[in-house]
Amino acid sequence: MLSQNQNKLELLQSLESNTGDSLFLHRVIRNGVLSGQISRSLADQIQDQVIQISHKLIKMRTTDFGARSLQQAVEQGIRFLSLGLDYATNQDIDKAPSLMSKNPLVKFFQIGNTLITQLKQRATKTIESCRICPPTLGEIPKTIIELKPILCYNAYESDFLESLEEEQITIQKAEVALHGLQSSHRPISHLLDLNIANQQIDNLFHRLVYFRSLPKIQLFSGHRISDGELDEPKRITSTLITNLVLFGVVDFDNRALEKYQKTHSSLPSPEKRSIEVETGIELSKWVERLFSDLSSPTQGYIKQYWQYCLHCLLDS
Amino acid sequence: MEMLVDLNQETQELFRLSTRRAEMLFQSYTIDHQLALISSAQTPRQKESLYELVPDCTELVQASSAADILQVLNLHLGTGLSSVMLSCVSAEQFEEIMDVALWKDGQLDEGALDFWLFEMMNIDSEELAEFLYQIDVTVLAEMIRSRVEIEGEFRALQIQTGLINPTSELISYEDERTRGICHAVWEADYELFIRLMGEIFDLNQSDPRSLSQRLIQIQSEREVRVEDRDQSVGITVTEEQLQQQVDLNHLDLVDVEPESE
Repeated sequence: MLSQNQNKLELLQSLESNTGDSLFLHRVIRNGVLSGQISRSLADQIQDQVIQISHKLIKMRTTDFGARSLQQAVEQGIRFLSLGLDYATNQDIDKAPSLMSKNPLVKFFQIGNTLITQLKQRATKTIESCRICPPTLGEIPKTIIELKPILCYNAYESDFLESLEEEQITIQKAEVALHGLQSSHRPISHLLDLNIANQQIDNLFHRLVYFRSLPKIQLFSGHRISDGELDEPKRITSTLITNLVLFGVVDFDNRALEKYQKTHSSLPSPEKRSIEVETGIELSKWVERLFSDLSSPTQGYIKQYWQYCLHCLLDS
Repeated sequence: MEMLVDLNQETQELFRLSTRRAEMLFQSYTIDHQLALISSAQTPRQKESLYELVPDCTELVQASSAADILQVLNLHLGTGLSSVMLSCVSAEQFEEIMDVALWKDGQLDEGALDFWLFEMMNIDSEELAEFLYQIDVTVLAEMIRSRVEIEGEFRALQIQTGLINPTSELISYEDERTRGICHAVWEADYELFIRLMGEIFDLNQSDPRSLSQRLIQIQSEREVRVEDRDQSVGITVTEEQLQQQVDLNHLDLVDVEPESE
């Protein structure tokens, strides 16, 4: 599919300008050629193998063979190669030329492909499993009015996970919770992107463990239908922490949340910050008491998440 | 063939000429140079425009790479307009095109097959027969299996004795496209139509293999053809290699430092 007369170097160069940042593979080649670690013949071999992989990918994966599809297949091939090399060398730019000269480039493509496939599978699994299912029929008391599962990720996190399934990343760093829409999606091209994505997914699984350890019947009894809510896990947690702070009980009654907001909304900012610090200490103790049987990384995550929810609550 | 001229620039200059002058100039080139220009054209639309510069592009198409033809065919796929160029390709080229277009990540792409068969319905029935022979009947059946039904107790007998034709009242089609495809197959080769019905309703007793076994066989035959073609042009990377997943904890890489002298 690739034009036989196409300048081979154009492939790598065009991708560099499209993505805006330099792939590990580009840096390796640039550095290797300058330092003499990559000979002219090795550079030719690399280019030939990149062309072969791109050519095969086009034949395997594109359906419409339009110019855009061809470009995407070429870009995908180079990104996977670069990721695989990044991983295999543990980001050691000086080690890469030696590894590239001793191994067929397709091996690095396979590593990159495996990394992306595993991340996509993990994103799909998170979308499907990061939820609390309602109690079974036998467990349901009459007070339960909502029988939809509770998703442990918010709308922004859902968007993030769906983007991962498309091999795109929407965040610059992992956060305790994602908030706000990210304007730009970019293809997963670096090991750092993979690490950030995996860290964010780890956070979601900590949150799942946290939600699973909450009393299910109470959680669903207090749960109210709220169509279009962007961040349900945050609202539930805010309700829980206001009940703990005001009444010292594990409850999901919304009245505590409303009362807390009414009391604190008009306070000046410095006072809010001081309350945030004091309440944060109190909440840390609650986390240790209520979730003592959970692993310390999960407890650590819950503390951060509660602090985040408290901050949002005071600022709302 | 090494080129010392900028083919892309030459193509652009060709397009700047009036149609008549562009045709005259293009037709004055050797076929090798015409093919080089087509291969180096930046977009499928440009490739198509170059094919249009000769009065009958059959010879040019049959000398072209399947990749170039496929890109042009895809411009109009699903509209029926690709059939004009499709009727110019040779049976071998058609087989190569089908080996690319009907498969995605090594699996049969039924959506693509549907599109291509629709395109083929507009081809002259004699040419269509030639092309249909290049597609395994199991693959054809796979596409319309759930979209055609034959009523009655003696369905098997009717098919085996050739009493069924696409206009029979006993046959019902889920959509007009399926009806059109069955008609086209019938007109191209009625025996193929009977085999196709036999395949759809699992009556081909001469082949004891199950449907999944037959599909695996077709898949591996196609892989062999693709690898043979790739090797003939120096491509050694295979689809299997690109699909292979690795154990990230045990990378199978050669990582030996050169011995110091």
